[in-house]
Amino acid sequence: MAHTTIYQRVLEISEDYLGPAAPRFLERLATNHLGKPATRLTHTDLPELVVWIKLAVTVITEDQTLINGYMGRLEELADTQRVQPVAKRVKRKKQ
Amino acid sequence: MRGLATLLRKYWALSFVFLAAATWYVTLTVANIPSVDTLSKYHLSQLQAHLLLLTIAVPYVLIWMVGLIGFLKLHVYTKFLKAGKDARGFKTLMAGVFMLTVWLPFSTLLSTTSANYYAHHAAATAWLVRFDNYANIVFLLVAFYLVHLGSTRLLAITRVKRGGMSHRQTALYVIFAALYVFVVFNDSVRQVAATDTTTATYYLSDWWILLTIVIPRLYMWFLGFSAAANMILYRQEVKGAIYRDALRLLALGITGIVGTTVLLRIVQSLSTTLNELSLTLLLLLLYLLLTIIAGGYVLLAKGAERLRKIEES
Repeated sequence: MAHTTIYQRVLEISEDYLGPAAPRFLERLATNHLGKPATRLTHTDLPELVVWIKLAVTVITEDQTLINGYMGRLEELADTQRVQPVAKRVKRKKQ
Repeated sequence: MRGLATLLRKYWALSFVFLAAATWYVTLTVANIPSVDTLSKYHLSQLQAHLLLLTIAVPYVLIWMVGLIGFLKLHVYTKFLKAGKDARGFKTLMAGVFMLTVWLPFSTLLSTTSANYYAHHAAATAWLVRFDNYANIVFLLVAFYLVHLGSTRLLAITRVKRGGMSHRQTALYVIFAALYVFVVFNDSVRQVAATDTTTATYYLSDWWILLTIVIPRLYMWFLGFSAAANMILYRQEVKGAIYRDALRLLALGITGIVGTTVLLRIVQSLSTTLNELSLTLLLLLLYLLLTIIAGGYVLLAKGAERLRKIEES
């Protein structure tokens, strides 16, 4: 379930920028660069995926405001996903 | 230029058909001897008339090629879509654009060939004029229906509940339709030709003109204008800032092609009435419409290329 949630959250953000092309876009990047279907993305794939998305989007548009907005939201998502495991470790140490 | 040559080579069969149509059309234009009436009406020598016809034929042929390239680029883009939400809409839209693109050489060749034929076989004139009118109606009715269906399917993936023309646009269309009906039934040569060397516009009774020409034409133009309105609405309402930006040119291109095809068909169907205008004015009107159609196809090609970048990157 957790994998699907990551994909859905990336898709939700991507649809705001790429519209109906977003599912195809993510599927292509995940398959070609991460070697797995987009629906099986995990939080550890996010930093690499964000780099590939940035590279791809730079080819599509020159609008820096759009690119920065898109990347900002994805990086924010990647950060929140990174914080969670650390928080869990701290909690476990305290116990 | 290299990319265009590769594209035309890849779709060689369709490119060959267009090239053959172009050769045929230019040959017919050169071989066609204008009537003495036409020459004296416009104060032209035979050589001047041939050269003038060539100045129309060559841009026409160039526009067919621009149209072919625009369609092929859209075709290449739709091949990337596979089974996305927008795939069905774009594929239907592409089928409609294909019909509109093929209609360009089809309508010109049909009218030029039949005109050449009845110049020597006067008895066939009425039948050929009727056939020319009905063939164009059937062809464009299918084309506009597909473009409209495609645009409606695209609009269905947005939050918009109801597409088509707004109330103001519909009101404008009603005025346009009324004016068109007025012009058609004021055409003094709609049933019978004025002289032996000219032709009538329809060779039909008024009821037949109304039921089988005017109503189908107004309906298909309504479909065309509604499709154009749908595309503009789709571009405004679809999710995705980058996608919308890439879609802008394609939506503008389709709107331009559909709108101008309607206007071009109106000019062609009223050619007998418009013959009263001066030659310069007629030519200017024709060149203007052809330039807008070519512009529409250029926008379509550029838009499809920009959308393809999203699918390729």
